[in-house]
Amino acid sequence: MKRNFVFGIIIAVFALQQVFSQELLIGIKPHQLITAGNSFDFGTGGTSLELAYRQNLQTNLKWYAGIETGTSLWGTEFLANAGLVYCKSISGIWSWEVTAGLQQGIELFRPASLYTGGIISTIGIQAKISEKSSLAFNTGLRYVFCPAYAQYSYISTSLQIPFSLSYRLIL
Amino acid sequence: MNIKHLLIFSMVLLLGACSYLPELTLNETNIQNKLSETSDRIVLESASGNATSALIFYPGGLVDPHVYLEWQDKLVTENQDLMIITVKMPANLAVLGINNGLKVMEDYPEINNWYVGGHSLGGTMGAELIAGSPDKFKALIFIASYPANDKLKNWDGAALSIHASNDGLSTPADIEAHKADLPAAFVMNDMTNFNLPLQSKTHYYEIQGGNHGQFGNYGVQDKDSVAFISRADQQTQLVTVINNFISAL
Repeated sequence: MKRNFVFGIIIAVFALQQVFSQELLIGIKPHQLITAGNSFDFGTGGTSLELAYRQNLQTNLKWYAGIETGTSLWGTEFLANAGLVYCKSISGIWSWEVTAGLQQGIELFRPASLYTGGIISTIGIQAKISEKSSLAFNTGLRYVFCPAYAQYSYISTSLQIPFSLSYRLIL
Repeated sequence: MNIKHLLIFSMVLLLGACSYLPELTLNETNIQNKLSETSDRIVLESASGNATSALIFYPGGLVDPHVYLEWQDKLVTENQDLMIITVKMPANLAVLGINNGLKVMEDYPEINNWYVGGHSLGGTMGAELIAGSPDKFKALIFIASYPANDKLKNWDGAALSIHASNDGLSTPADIEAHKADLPAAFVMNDMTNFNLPLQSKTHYYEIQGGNHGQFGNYGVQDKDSVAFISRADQQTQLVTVINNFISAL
């Protein structure tokens, strides 16, 4: 009975994989500042590495979830990301997409790390480089905050322009 | 940040590197002078804004740059001609932003005299900054720190090295071992005992009973030794010696 159940799960997962196209994404994301605190500031907001998993919900709609870690305005951070992607094919090679997502995580401090979060929306273009892989460039707007850091600094929020160059592997 | 920096950063992150937060909030620090902040620097200057000299300060490794504000504010209060610019570093590691101080200098053409100072890793990287542009700076101030090489051995600027007897990270033995890497050594026996002129010399002052972490306000640092003087006492000596040194330049 137990063996049949496990076998059934494996078949179901395999079937889902065939129905819903999936991809793994690895990317590098430098962030250009627009504001830091209440002032315009055109410095750098850090660079992070992103790893994400994407899966189709409908023909042109995907969800994604992933992790991101790198330098930030406040030090170093570790984020969990989730959101939606609307994508549209232009030709056999090119496609464009719009993403919207939430970021939740921590700024790495001691004696205790601080909560950080953000919202991000990007527009991007993707080029297929083989049957199973593609390269993409995205940019957009990102608003990040670390509320508890306001105790120590004038800068606890920031509006940024994220740039992302990513490699995507179709599973 | 280039790929090399990203790799170094990733390695540090894997080792679980978290930065020390300040123990005091901005309100508790009770700043008396003009404080301003951008994404890449924290600037302290007198309310009049007439500074003619500036100290570029590099924070210690994995230490939030705001932890030094309390004693920096006292130093500016005692020396109204001095502006202190604490440079924020990627991942709070000065090794990733050695030349960031040069970018800061471009924004203050009214400053005539530039000094560099740093705590721990920040002092070591400050020495690298000067080694790359020795003619731009008149003085270097090590706080619980020493150079990584002998590039400044023949530098004609003035150097000051302040360390603490109970420092468990930059120990007195470490400071002693790197004396040969800096201009001629002169050991001070009190806070006013300078061998003038200061140029082409390194003055050493040891704070008895102090430790590594009390040069900032961030609590007890891993691997540090126990201090037997208060943080306030240690930082009062720090401010007095730096102020006397700058006044004698």
